[in-house]
Amino acid sequence: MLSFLLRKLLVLIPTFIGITIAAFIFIHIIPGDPILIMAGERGLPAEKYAELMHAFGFDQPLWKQYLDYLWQLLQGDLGKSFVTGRPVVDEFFELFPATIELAVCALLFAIIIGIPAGILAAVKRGSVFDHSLMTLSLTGFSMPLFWWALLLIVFFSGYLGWTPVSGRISALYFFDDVTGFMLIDSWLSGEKGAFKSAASHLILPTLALGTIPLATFARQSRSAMLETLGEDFIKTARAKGLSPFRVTVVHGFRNALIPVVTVIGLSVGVLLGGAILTETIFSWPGIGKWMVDSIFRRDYPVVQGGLILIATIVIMVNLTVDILYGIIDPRIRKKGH
Amino acid sequence: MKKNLIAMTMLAGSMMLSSTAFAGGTLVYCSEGSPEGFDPALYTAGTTFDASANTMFDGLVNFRVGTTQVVPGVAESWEISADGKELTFKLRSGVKFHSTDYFTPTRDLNADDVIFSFNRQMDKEDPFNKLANGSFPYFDGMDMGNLIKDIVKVDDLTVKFVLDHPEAPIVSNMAMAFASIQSAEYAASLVKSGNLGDLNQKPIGTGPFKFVAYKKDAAIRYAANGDYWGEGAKIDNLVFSITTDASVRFQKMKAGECHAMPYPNPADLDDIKATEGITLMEQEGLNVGYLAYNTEKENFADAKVRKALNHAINKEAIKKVVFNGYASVAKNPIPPTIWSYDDSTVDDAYDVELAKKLLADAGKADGFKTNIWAMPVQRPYNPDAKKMAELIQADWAKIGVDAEIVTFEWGEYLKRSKAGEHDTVLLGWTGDNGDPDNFLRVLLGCVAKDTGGNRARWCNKEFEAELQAALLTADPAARTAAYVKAQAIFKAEAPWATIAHSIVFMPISDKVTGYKVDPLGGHFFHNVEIK
Amino acid sequence: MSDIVNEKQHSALFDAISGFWTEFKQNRGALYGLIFISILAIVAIFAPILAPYSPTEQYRDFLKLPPIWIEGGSWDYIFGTDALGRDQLSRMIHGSRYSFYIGFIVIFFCLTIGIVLGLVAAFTKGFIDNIIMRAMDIILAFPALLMALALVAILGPSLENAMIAIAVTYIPHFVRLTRAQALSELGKDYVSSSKTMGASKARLMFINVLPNCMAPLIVQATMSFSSAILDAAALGFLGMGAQPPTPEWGTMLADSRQYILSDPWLMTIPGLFILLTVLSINLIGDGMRDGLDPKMKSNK
Repeated sequence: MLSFLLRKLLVLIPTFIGITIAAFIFIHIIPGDPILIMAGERGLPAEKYAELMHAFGFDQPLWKQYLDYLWQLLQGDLGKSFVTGRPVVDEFFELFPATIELAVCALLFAIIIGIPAGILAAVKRGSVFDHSLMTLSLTGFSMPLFWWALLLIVFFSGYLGWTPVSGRISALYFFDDVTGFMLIDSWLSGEKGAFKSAASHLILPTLALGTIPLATFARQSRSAMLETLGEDFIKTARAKGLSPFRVTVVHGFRNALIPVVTVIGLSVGVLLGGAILTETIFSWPGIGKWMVDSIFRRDYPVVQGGLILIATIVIMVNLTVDILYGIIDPRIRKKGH
Repeated sequence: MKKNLIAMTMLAGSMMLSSTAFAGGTLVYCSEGSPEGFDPALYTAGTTFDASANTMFDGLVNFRVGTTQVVPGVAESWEISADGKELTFKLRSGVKFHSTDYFTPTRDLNADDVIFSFNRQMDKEDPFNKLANGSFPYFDGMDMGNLIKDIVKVDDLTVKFVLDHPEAPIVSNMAMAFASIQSAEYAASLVKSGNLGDLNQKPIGTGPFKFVAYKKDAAIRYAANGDYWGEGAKIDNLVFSITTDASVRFQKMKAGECHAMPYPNPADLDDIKATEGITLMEQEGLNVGYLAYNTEKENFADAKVRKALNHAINKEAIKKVVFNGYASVAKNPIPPTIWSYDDSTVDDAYDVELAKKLLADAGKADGFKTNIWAMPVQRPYNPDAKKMAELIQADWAKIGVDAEIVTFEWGEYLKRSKAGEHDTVLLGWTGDNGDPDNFLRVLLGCVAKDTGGNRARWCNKEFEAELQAALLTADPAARTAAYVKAQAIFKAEAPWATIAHSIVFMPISDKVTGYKVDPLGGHFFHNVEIK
Repeated sequence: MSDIVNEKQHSALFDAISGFWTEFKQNRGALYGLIFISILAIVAIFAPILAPYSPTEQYRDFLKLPPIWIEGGSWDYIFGTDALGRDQLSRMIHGSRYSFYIGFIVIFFCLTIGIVLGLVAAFTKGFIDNIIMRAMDIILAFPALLMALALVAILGPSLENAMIAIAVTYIPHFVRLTRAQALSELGKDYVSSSKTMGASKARLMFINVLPNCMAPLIVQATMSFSSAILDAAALGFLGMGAQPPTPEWGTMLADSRQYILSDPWLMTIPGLFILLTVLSINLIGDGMRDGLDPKMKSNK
């Protein structure tokens, strides 16, 4: 197990260096620069522009800028935003909990509904329930996300008036961050109605972001379950006269879990990507929206730092999934990758 | 939600009772974006000014809310020397900076604060100048560094600006956001503690509201400044709830989650008007949306061609489609609400036959291939540049001019159009200070050809002479006469197709009274009351 | 001898196809999907003939006319007109071409580049394999949409660049799949026997191994076809997709966003058609998986 872990970690080093290069190159070859964006329609005198290019270090050759950046990075410094002047790390960790909170809720929503539904569909294969679930999940999977999110707002907030429209909590509540997770903070604040407000603000974004993972999980757990149900040990268990419930849940479920865990792991990237659209539409103050805004403003340090942090998280999640995988199914450990 | 809002307003109100004499409640404003920071000198975006200069800061002079009239700010009075090169401000006594949990001022505002506020923007040795890498976009863009030679403290409450040359709009410039007065005492304490960045994160001003907290990309909270020198805010708390999508903002207003919102979708205006409990306030904006011809390109060097293209554009259709009818067609480069606007100008009427004839006269009867650059962002002067470009494209096709629509990402758009890579480019301008110079010289002056503001790359000697004449005199009649002449030259030469002046809208809850729409595009809340 | 082999392969191929078809048509969803896509393909091919108007002609007297089933609609413009007075039906008809265009170009890039890189990785092993796979890891470490957004920002916003950016984010999946399939094929007897018979590396790669890896790749390509349409729409929503006056559905959807409250059908029509198209392709993909994957077949 230890050598398996070590091997996995070693592979990460070149990947990580590659990520820093990719993140750096990306933002620096995007045309346009932050100085002109700040100057806007008016423009700047040419000599002042040259002066600023120099002050920000943009007149240096790219490789030198990269090495300087890497040196900073090794010291754990991701730099400061050109726009706000605040350290990138501070901004990231101020906004990250919002994204996590939303992603976790969407993931839980997808797991809690998707997996049991998928299993049930497998057990009742060919039934009306099976067919409609599969069609529905495929429909959810085929929905343009931003359209879906706007439809949800128009219907649930606009037409029915059941849910708040956007944001994390009603603007009238204001308390200091403790954990950064609004559900917890609102509860800790002790203000009346704060928790309810935070929870109700989560409903629509969760629905919007959770739809695609939900569809994936339902389909994945259905097919994994079908595969397991067809295997010999289940047939044996049935023949032994074990109750159908026990066979399905205890024997089938555990074995069907392996592919599902992989899919959950893969969903993290999907969720972070989906967060960009969801956060933009629901004015959700998370890192997805932050990254998009920063790309548009050419805020180099934020885009670089953000990309590196996000990529690192994705890698870590994948590593965790690999390890979990190794625990659930020892055969994989030996095979390597 | 509605019930919730009322309950919370009362709760918040009662909590604030101890600090303020009257319970005015909390106003929630659904703002359109996050402020970049809270130091107005560092930025150019209106969103940032709303969250900083317009709520928490004063200038030496201010604009009277709802107008472009200059009124005293922290300066009671001012005086310009006969040669126009010395500008002396007499400061108000007893002006207090905000007391907050992070800073308590020990003295009232004085000349040092004024000198600090400007010096840091031009003195390369100032630690705050270094922190910003010397980038003060408005100050630089207006070339203030070369205009202001020196700032002299005459006494504690008198400051004298020594100018390099006379510049008529200088007093109006002092009311702009970048000229907000910061506390030198606070700045010194930040230098001492090494937290220079706090000037931009935890602002201290003299304005009607003081800073309470900012949750990034979510909400900003302000409280009324009880020590305000003027007529203070009538509400206790002001909350900016950041909501970037315009349809979502309107939904929030309908749901009672906010009292006011800026920049509604033009398409939603009829709907907003019909919504009970919401009033749609409007005012003609101090802006112009235009299509600039790159006069350095062969096809557009001839004024006849430019005139022909102007005649081919159906501006009424643009007004109807792009602005949903809520705009006025532009014939001059300055909006009608600005003084010296020449209403006698005859616009280039929509006339396809005439356009064809003019084009033939210019030797281009068969038309030509060109491009139209469409901005990727929404602005009050142009809420949908892509649609506008599509309309112009279809209009020009009728006279044989085949235009391709080109768009870049905003930064790239500004950079390339500054460099003159375009054939024709859609852009616009919202005035900063209500002076014609702020339109004509910034957008059409010869110097602006290099700084980038002049996207037509048009430098006309007679036009420039009128601008310079108007700049050097303070006499309003002489200035008006010069600007009227300049407008006539502009119309004959047609470096732009002037498209429209938009109307600025502000949907506001019927519970709110006293709000005034600012023609300069700002949003001010110290005059409002909540029922 | 080669003739015998060819004949054998022919009949085997025929068996495979007819077996696949029998399996496929049992899946009713897949069949409906295929029907819808076929109709759409016909519409796309004959778009200029079928469309009543030009997709870019502006009828300025008829702005934002509602579709026929809503009060105020007119038979002249069955799906209504958009904000510039262009006929929505004609735009939808012409737009169907772009959906196929996006899908085909993206999977073309993914298949060619993905297969070549995957096969090279599988055959070389060692250093080159490592380089290729780490590069793929790096691409996969960034959320796809964010990566695509940055790429389009670099290349400049246009439909073509959006397609390239989308393809780049999909390629790693194809590389991994090809490599894994090829590796498992490489261990099989027929490969070693070809090797001993002196077959060249290229021949081994493309003639022997590749055809046996195709089934999962085709399924993956089908699924990518539909995601590409969705991702192009998402990029369009962020202002990084097709440029006007292109009647691309995703851009039409994004452009009519400001009318979601006042004239909701402007968003409903392109939204619904994207949904139906993507759904149909996914249904077909499902059917193909059932038909091609013998393991799944047993579960049906």
